[in-house]
Amino acid sequence: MPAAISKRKALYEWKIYLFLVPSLLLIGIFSYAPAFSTVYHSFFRWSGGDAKEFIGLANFKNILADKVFWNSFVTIGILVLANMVKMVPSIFMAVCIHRLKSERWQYNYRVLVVLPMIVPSLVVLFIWKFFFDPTQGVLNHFLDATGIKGFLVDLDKLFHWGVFFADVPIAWLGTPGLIIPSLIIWGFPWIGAVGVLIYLAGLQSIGTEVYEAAQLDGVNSLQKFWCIEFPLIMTQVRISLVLLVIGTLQSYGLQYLLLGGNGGPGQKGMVPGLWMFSKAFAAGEFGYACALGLFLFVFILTLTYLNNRYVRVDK
Amino acid sequence: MFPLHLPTRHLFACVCAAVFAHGLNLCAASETGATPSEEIDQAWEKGATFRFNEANVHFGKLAGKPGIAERERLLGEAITLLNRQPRAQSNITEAGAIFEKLVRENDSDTIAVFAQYFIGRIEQVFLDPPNYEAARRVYRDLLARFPGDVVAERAASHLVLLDLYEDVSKEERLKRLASLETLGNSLNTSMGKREFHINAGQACLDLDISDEKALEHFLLADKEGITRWQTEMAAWVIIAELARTENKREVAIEYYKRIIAKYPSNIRTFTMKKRLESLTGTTVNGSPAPGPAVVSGI
Amino acid sequence: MRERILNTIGIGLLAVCFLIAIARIVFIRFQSKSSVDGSKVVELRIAHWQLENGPRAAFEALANEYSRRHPNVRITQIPIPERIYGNWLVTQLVGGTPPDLIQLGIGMNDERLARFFTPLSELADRPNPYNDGTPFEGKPLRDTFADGMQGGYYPNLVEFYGVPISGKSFRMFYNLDLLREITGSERVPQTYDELIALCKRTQEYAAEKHVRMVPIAGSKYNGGILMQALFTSQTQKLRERLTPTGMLVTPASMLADRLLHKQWSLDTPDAKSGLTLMREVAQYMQPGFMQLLRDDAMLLFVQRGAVMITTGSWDATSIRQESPFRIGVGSIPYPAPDHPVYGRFTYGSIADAEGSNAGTVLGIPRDTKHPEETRDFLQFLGSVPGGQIWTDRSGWIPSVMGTKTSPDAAPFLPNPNGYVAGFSYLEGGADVGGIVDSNMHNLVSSYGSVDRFIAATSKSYERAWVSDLQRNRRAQADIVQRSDTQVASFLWLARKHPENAEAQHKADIALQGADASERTLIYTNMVLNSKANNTAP
Repeated sequence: MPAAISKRKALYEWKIYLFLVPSLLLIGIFSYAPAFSTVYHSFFRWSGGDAKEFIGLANFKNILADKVFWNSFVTIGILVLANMVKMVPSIFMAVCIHRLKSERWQYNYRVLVVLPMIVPSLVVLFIWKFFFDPTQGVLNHFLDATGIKGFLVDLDKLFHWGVFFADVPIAWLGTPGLIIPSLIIWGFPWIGAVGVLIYLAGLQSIGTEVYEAAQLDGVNSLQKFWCIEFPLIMTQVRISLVLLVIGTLQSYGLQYLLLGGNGGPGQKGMVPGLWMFSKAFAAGEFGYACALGLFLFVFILTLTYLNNRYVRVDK
Repeated sequence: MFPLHLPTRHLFACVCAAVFAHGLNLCAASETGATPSEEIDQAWEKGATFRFNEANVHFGKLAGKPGIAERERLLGEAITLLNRQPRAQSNITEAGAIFEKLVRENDSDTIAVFAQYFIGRIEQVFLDPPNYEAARRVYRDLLARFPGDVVAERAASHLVLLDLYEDVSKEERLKRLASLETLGNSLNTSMGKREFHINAGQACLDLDISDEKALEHFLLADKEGITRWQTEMAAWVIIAELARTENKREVAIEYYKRIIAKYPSNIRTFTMKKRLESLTGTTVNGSPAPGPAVVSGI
Repeated sequence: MRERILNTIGIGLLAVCFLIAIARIVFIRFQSKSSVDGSKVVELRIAHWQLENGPRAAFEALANEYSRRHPNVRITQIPIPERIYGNWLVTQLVGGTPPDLIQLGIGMNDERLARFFTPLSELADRPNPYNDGTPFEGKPLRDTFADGMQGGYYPNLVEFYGVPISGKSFRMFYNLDLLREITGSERVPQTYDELIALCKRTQEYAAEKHVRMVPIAGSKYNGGILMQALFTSQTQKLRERLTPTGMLVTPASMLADRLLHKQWSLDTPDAKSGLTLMREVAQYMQPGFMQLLRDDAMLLFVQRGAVMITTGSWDATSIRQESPFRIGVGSIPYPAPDHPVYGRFTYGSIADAEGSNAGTVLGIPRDTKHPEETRDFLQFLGSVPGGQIWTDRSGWIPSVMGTKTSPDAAPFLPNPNGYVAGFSYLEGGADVGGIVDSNMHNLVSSYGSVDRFIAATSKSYERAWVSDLQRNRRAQADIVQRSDTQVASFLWLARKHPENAEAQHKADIALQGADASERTLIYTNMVLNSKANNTAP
């Protein structure tokens, strides 16, 4: 805890605070003004132009009866759970890099992991969209070439999924039953550069004496991970978890690009953010979209609070 | 010490001034050198081009300015206030009060016609829920007191819509139509008559009142001259088609010919040509059988 | 030592790039400041979203020709992708830094037009000096356009705000080389049955040769164009039955009314026939095509992955340039009235488009730094010589009369010789679109069927029409309220200046537009009230 200073001392060189003004101004204009505008417009019937009408809480009442919005939380719930599982490869990769003996190879692997970050995320999304293409996509070519498709068709016959057929290319993004699996498959092998770096930072802060002591006790590799490494990077895991939950709840770019504004066939890929976007830009109900955004904000805030309050890390 | 140097302060001041001036430029009257009459006209022109907030501010700024007619200014301020954004019930109430005041002060000049007309429009269009009975009363009074005034006669076309599109029986609609037609006969201005007949004709079609009556009203509307091309085209097609089904062959042929001549590339024109061909038994120039125009090898 | 050298090289490279950039800026600024004769050069910027190859080349050619005639004017294009055009434009307009000439459409509404753009009525009424020496010399600008410049006319504002420089139409594009390989001839389908026969033959060919190929390149955009067109051919007679005599076009509110009163549904034989047609053609596109974008379909077509594609005339130049094969173009082959299955619901082929179906409309922002030069350049674009360059280089349909349509553009000239289309299943609005979109897989996928689609949408389709109608009512009420102030302002100005014919005309036109909106509003109100009271209107 930094020591408190007196008001007189703090204001002695008061003019230096003026240097903060440009930053505060920019944050105010670009971060807070839109946020306040969202709150303001959520009480209006507003279609984006200059015409608007104050309607009180009507937008919020409509949210309560909005089935698509509530259903979208089921999809987002599945995606949050899937993303939690998708954290594992990053942790695994971080541990592998950390355990490398050679510092030079550690460095090389870090670079390799970080390198894909320079590819714009939009490009990555487009590449994945191309992977899923039914006639020209890599995924279907791979499944055909390896014979996995035949296996999937057999499984389909056994379980009556109704999504894989022998003579028809798999429409990953055009079949309701395959939408969620496609959204989960996306990003395979799910090694996120930021995640790996965060976990690596945590792993590298573990003192060598801990490992030495463990070695004297004769622990094996798996025990080393469960008893030392994983508990000691829980702070990083928690940060990742918070970022992941917030990011998943907020995001809709992936669904928009892969499935369009309507969330794909049967609206199986509809998430709250996409519904908000679709209400604003397809239906022209900007006021209602603001109310949805506000609701989402409160929801995320509550989740973050609960996470900070109850998900504790005992070292 | 980190003093703010003079040039920095100047720069800051300039930025503030530019932002402020830009804001003023957007929302306030900036015209200079205009006569009072020109200046108030500029405010009306803003109202005519959907720049309601700017127009309202402009009218407000002209208050007390020498040479500005206060009743005209107040009228403009109230009319633009109705659409000042964000729209608020308080604005509607305030505008209504100004209209009432204008009518109280003088109930027989042009301003009073506009003001009373808008009192009716507030009841019909701006209130939520609307008060159609009150609107009807205002409109009938307006028509009775200002015969031959374009604005007052707009009330007649609104009355057609209010009376005929209400959820009533077909007999009641026919009775109402007859009563409205008497009102229509008393109209004097070309604009008033035309809009009255278009609304009555469309209501006859929409509500399945009578094709014959619809044709009669559209013909009367066309006689007054429809100047908006979309309305004219639609009216001519309706006239031609109704005349055909009502066995008024000559009228139908005349209007089919008019449509083909004036709107040769409209999506409805080919159908009009086919109808004309079937009525006259001749082939109309430029109407080959429809089919895909196929061109290969570009 | 090695690290130091590397750092020095890095800094050196940075410095060189920086110097090159500075030199380039200085050079461009110097170049833009002076012309050949030393006078000050004016730079006009023109913003548009036509990223296709043809129009960009055409703008370039027009700019060069104009600069040749006016050496002190230089013209730069700012092509902005369609997706972000609206946001970009609004930012420029609000920030007071717009380009000098702007393509109108995306991101534009009446309020923005009125606030940020220059009215062009006066320009439209004046003869175009660039038409001197042509048959249109001395004629007002608006009378030199095939559509009377209606493409640039905004009825709600009673004003011209733009000049249309091209038209548009939808066509089927064929890979002629593939067509010859598959059928032995280059004859493109002329009837619906021929289209289906070609599709079947293509599938057989692909199976025989073991190539990945589909007959029609589909995407939500391209497949949607073909499927909607075919559907509307089947609702021509239904529309007539649902609409009072004489109204050859049915407003959405009337369709909603008839739907709510069970006079039609997707299960009505006509509509069902339309859905059957849609499913039939969909079977010849890629599986899951509804999730693909326009670019995906184009890529498939130009890579010989499909024999045909349905798209707009604006894609012609790009297709021609990107395709390593010859292209054939034809109209969409609708089922004819004598077709044994689909003929009983149709009158025949559908008229292409109205004359006012403008493709590229350009307007002048109020904040342009060079209003005179921009007006002059716009006149050049809208002249016979300018129109000729445009159509020759872009391959797009000209909008200026007297221009000779280039052979490339000729197949795209709108064919008005067709009947009025029926209505589309999408006409309700955004919610209806959403319901149809999210259930489309039940119709077009291999496991789908017409009945399955109808069953899947039966509950929500009608509800979506009602919610769209409610939204339309709010929008219409807003238009009526705004029109009241607008019309009153016009009427006041007309009354105050009885000698001003223009003011009288504007008041008259505005009044007619406002009354048309009020009729729509009151009809919509009636439909919704009768729905609420469950009574017939």
